[in-house]
Amino acid sequence: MMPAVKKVTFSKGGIHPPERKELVDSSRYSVLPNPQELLIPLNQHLGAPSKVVVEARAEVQALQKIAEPAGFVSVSVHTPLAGKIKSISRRDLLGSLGEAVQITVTPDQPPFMDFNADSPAPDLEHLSSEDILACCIEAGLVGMGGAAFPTHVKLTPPKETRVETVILNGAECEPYLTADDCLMQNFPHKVAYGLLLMLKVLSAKKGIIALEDNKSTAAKKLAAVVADFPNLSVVLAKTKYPQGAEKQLVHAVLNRIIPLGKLPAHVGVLVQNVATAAALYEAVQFKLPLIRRIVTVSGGAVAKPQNVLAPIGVSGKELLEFCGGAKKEIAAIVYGGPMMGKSTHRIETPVTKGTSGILYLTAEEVHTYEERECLRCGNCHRVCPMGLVPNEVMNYMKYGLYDKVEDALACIECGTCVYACPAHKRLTQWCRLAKYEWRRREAKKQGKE
Amino acid sequence: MAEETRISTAVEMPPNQIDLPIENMRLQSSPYIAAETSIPKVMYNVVIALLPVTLWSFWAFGLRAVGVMASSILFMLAFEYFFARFRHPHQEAWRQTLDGSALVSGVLLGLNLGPTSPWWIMMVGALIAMGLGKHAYGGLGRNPFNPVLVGRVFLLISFPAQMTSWKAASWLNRDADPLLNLDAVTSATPLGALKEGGWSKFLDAFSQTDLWNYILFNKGGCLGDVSLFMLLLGGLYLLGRKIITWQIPLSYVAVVALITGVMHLVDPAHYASPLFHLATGSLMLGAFFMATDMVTSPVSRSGQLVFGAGCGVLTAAIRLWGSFPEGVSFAILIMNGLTPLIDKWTKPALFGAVKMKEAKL
Ligand code: SF4
Ligand code: SF4
Repeated sequence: MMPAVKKVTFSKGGIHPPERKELVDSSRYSVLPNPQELLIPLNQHLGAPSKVVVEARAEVQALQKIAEPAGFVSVSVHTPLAGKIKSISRRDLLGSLGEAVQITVTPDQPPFMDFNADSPAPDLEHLSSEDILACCIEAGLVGMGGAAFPTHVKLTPPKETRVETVILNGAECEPYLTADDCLMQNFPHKVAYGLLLMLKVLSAKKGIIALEDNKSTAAKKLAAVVADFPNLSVVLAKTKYPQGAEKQLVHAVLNRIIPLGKLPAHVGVLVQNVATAAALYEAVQFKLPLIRRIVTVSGGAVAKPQNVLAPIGVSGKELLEFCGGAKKEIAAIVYGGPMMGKSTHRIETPVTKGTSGILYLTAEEVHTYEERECLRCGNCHRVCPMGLVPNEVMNYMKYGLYDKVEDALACIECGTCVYACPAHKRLTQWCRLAKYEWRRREAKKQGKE
Repeated sequence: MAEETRISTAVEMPPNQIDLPIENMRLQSSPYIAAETSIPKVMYNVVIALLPVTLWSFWAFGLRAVGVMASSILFMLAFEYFFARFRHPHQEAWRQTLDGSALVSGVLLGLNLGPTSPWWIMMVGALIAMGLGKHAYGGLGRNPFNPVLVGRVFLLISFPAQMTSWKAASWLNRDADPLLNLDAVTSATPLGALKEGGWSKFLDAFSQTDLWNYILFNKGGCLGDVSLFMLLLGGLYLLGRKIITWQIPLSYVAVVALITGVMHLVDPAHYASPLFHLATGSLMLGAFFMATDMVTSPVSRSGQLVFGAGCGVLTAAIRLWGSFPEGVSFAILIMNGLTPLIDKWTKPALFGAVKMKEAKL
């Protein structure tokens, strides 16, 4: 039974990049064998880096907490496997420096925990919203869609707002990625129960799971599960990038527009990733910290692209080898999706809580065009989901007119404009620069006053 | 935790211990994929859209038209390289010459000239278009005015005689051998005839069926005016490929139709029917291919509507009350000049901005 007949979508801009999701069979995942070593970055989430609580050369047990939150906007970090702390040192994680805990994994231990096959319904009656939040903090949950924003912070919206609807984001609009799809297909119950827990925390009335219409199997399975709960529903959105961006998704599903600079909570909505919901369920039900996730290992250079259940901290190299290694020369390694992910040349960059995929792209796949003259064709403006005029921002930045780039603050860095530009201008990058420059100047101004 | 228990607090980055070749690995900011598009692709699509009318003009005017077109393109490419070479090394100048923009300019200039134009007309036109119209401002993407129109208006003002004595489409005069009698038969353009005689007098010259055949397929005038049908075909292609948007052509044509329509109702004997105005001169060529030039038209959709409407008002005004029979080139050039202002006035609202105003209240 399909509950949603009408397919919703956001209104402004958008593109249809080739999906390339067919590279991976999204109905199943493989479990990575225990690695020999883990490198767990403590700055893998947004907010303050966690404070390490173990010492070098100490022995740690599987699931033991190795770092604590350093403030409200921060989370604890756990080790997926038992082992010995080899070092605690500053490392580069996709361009940001931070402490990372290196662990030599004890050999011959049981494999790290797979997903629990049976998912009993949570006992909502006897759980208070404080209990759930406490579990959430204890488990070190972060948004698993990519931004890795601490979940408990999101679940405590500003006082003046009132959240009535929680949208679970299963749009997964980025090409290549199927990790969320895989999770929804295999564990629809966990996702739905996680959503129920979120509703409980916020005393919200309605829970909606939103998917792009290219995930019909997952939608069917979820629909079967939510049929038992009158306050839950599944909504299908058109396959269009960036359908999964927070503001766009809220607009598509509820037809509400989030004012610039405001949170979804200001229109009574909270958006969470489906994997986060499943993790919340596990944290509450099984007291399981967030120590592993499904990662899509894909791209034209991978011999056997697939979804892999991988422990946090395992090196990307291990994953690539597990997937048969590289069959072609790798032109770019991207952590995350091809539109918003980050590229690295360090093949051993570890899997983090926010790593939805690792792509090994060949030269044919990755965009290698040189920048040319801007034609003022307006493509970038027409596809921008935020209605920006990116070429204008670029020109202001180029000519140093920094006081005119305030608009760029609205940019969600989705990359849509660059995708559509015939001159291949790095517009997203200019917008990032504009935001940075604007904020720097604002801070300076405030400092003077 | 004591500081010394840490093995190292310094930045420690292990060497890349991979057996994979990483020299060619790309490190860049997102996104990593891009649509299959490029400047040459856009430009060559415009050329494809102009092909039907070009070929039709060859068919209608014969070899002279081929000559005009070929020399126009050649001069355009040559001057593009010449001027680009001032600022760039050979390789870059050559790339710019071949990026398709000069080819489009060449074809458009050719379509704006009559089949009897002497070779130096093309040369001067291309020189002015590329020199004054494009490279004086810094080349592709920076010129405020449509280079082809700059060239054309320069010619129109400097050499009115060569620019306004037209050769009727050769097969109109079925007795004349299309190739041999080229220079023998010249007729004024329909718009010129209208300016002189008024609508009722003009209509006497044609029966209705002839008129439509004439307008759709073998109008006299410049190469590009010869067949309205072929022009529209190309325009639709561009719209279909999303190279141009419908805003400029539609608002342009609609406004011309509106103004000339009102005037026709006021004085049917003197002012021509709006359909005639839409069908003659370079209105369609201008509306679909010149006004829509991306570099010189506004970026936002609302801005494009304003721009097209402005072109329409000016065109109609020049045609109805000006001293030139045709106003498309002037109208578009004037609106080109206003483009930065239009862009400023019609700056589109950001997604969520409207709500923000309400939220502040
Ligand atoms: S899409 Fe590219 S070429 Fe077109 S206006 Fe934007 S930046 Fe310029
Ligand atoms: S990256 Fe920014 S400017 Fe570009 S399309 Fe996305 S929101 Fe618009």
